[in-house]
Amino acid sequence: MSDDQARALEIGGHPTHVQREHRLANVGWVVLGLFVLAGLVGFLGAGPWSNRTTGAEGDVVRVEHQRVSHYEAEDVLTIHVAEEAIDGDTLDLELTGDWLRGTDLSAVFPEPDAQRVVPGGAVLEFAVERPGDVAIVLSFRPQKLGDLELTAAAGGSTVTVDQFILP
Amino acid sequence: MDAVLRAVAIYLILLVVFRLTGKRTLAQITTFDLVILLIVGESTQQAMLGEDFSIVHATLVIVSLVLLQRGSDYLAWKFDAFDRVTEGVPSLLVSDGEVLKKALAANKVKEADILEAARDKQGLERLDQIKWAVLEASGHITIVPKDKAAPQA
Repeated sequence: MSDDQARALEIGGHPTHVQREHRLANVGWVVLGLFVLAGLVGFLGAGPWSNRTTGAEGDVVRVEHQRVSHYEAEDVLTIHVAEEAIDGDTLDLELTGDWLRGTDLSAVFPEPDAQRVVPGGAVLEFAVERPGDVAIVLSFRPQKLGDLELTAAAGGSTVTVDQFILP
Repeated sequence: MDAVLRAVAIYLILLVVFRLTGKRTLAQITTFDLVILLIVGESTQQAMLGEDFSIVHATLVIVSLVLLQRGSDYLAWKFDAFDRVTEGVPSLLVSDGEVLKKALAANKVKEADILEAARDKQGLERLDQIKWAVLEASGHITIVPKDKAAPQA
């Protein structure tokens, strides 16, 4: 519709505005499409990019976690500890970092037999029934936004992981 | 990723369910239909959001649903077959004043609904004043009165 037609119809039309609006809408659709794509890939939460294991296969301590997590959303982090970190029938797993203060740790599986406080964190003590690699699962809800860092140490090996918490 | 996949699954399920339940516009829904719709909304919310009530997750679900709907609109505009499958096609209910009983039964429309539309939109009083009555894909009944119908070729 031309400017003259819009004036003749008296519909309060504004072709230049409409054209500008359509252009903006097209850009908007592309942005929304990219947003969903980022969600699918895992840039905005759980997904292929976000699923990460810090530490290589065969390392004493490995941590499976999401690089990106959501504020107050249930998430899990699994710490794999190799057999050599187990001292007799006890595994001491030391967790430190601002991750502990920035999350609400709702469950640890298996439950530790004892907990000791250390500067900046805690040591969880697990009784081990049989020799072999073990996995400790932490269920948590992030309570702070931004970057949170967790350091897990066992048997002299240390792994540090980062999680970014989105609103 | 989870948010997008959940949104796609729920969108497809709702599309199939509401497509199979036939044409019915918001103007025709009863109080109980509205209650059912509210329950459907509650249930789908649980299924789509799960335990994650974060802003990013909700935004992803919303944007995914909007894009799916927009994509469906585009495909319906581009391909007639897709439009027929997702939106349905108009059904003729009255031809030259004669009620097509089979069409009424198939679409669960009563004569009273046609007469109501005729009174409401055209100020008509009787079925014999209607040239055509059509149940549109949107669920509305449109009426063409005999005195306004185009002359037959």
